[in-house]
Amino acid sequence: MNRTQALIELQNVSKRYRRRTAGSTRDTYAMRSVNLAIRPGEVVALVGESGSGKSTTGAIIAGLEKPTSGTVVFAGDTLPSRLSGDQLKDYRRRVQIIFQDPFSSLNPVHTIGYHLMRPLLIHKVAASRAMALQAAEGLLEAVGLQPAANYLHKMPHQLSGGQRQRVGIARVLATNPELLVADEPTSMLDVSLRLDIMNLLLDLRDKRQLGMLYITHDLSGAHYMADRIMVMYRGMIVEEGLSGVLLSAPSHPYTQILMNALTRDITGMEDIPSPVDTQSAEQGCSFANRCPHRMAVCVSELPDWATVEEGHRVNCHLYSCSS
Amino acid sequence: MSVASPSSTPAQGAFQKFRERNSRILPNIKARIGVGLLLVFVLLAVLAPVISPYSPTYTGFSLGASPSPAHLLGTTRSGQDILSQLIWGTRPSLDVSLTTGFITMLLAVAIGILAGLLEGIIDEILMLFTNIVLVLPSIVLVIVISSYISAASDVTISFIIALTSWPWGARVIRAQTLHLKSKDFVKAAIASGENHFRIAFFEILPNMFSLVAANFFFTCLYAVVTVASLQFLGLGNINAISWGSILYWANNSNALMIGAWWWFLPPGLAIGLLGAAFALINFGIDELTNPRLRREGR
Repeated sequence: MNRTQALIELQNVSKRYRRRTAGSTRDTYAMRSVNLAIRPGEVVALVGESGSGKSTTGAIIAGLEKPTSGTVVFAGDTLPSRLSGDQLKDYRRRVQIIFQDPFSSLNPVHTIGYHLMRPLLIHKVAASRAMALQAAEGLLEAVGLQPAANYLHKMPHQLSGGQRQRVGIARVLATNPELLVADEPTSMLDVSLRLDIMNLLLDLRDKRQLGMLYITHDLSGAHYMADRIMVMYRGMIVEEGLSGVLLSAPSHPYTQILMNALTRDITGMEDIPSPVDTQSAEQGCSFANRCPHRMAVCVSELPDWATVEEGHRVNCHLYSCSS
Repeated sequence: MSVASPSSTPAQGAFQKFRERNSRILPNIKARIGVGLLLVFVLLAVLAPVISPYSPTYTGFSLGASPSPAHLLGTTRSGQDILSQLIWGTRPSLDVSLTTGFITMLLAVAIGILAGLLEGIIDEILMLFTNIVLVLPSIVLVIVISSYISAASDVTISFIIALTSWPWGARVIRAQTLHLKSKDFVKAAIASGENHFRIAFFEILPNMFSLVAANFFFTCLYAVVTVASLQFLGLGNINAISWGSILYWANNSNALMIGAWWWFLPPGLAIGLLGAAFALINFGIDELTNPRLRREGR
């Protein structure tokens, strides 16, 4: 596995959200012992439904949330639980995030130029405002917004969704990052624009050797974008593997259901219960309540990782029992 | 926005156009009328020495006269020219309302944004304090304090009103800060490395400019009315010339009973019009500061 050093590595990272209401506390685990590694130039897709914790994973990598437990290793260094000062600034420069909703990710009171020049000035990529302005034009051209000079003075509301998302990508590139978190960057766009944005991201990956976490709920998009796919369900990674390998032989019951839904082969498929009604299983497998192959052990114990084939692992009792 | 979808009839199209045009111009008209009214009062206040026909304190005219060419709004029962008093009275009324609005706005923004950005214990302490001030009966407090300080000055009254009326604004601004803080553009700004100060004042605050301005003008409106009520009740300095004190003396001299409308109606109208000016500006600002309604090339 370790051909090159991983750019970022999450080791047993858990994230708990604690809600206090009069007298009682309710814990929700958005992430349960997540292990994940991204190498330079590699696109890893994180696939899962709403509420599976994939966006939380992205937010932790982007430094917007702090893990409750576990360690984050970035470029070989274990990060302290609380980044601050120059170290934080350095991390912000090297790790960037693209948001899902292009309509809320740009500040409505600032021009496009302002959005692009701020990171350039904060991280002293550009020495002066004039240089920042020039660099901002270059960024707009790099994401296919031409002629760039026309866009610099526009307000976000004067652009279309696709154009805004390109601005969002341009802003992220301003600091010349090494790692990109793309949190469902195409899900709010028209279908006709999705491929453009995906190709733009892949193109940038090739040119700049970016590592990328591509968060999506769409298996086919993940297949198109990613070298490796990780399937997440209620805070747990349930299956991971090289995209082609994983998708040709999906092994976890949840991945199988997702695949069936994709190919519309719903014969023999049971109703998928809503994820909301399942009490957070503290000891057992996250998927136990919805699983068509549930066994007694699923409710009581966390499953172990089992290797299905070279470069393809699954976190399920069905496989660990037989091996 | 699908203004000209092929399925819409000409009538619908015309209606759409009408609505679109009016939604753009009407708010500006409101704001313009408001600003116009306010400017008239500001001019009156500034030019009082020039345009006022007599000294407002001179008592040598005939007593209790009805309107005449010499005294357009008549005279008081102690022989003062009411028009002159009305014009000079603009000054303290504007002073007090704008000062109060400004102090209140500063307090509300500072406490609201601080509480919204710094969650946890600081937020809880600030909100506890805010809620305590909120339930203090403001009018009663103002009356008690201003009757305790005999002949309280305008500045004192401004401060008393401001210190009891900031919590409403602070709560709204805190709520809006919490809302905006969860927006992706704030997260994006944090991810690009912006510091707390810039997040608060360059990312969040500009997005609630209309809220802050509304808070300012609403407090101005509240202050105009409150100060006039205090003076009408005989609190504050009733010997200073202001709209409230004109009303106090008018009431004291039974102007209403003897039908001297020229004495109590003009100051009442002035208070109402200044209040309306603040309210109209308030309405207009909301639309003008909404970037989506801003026209291109402005």
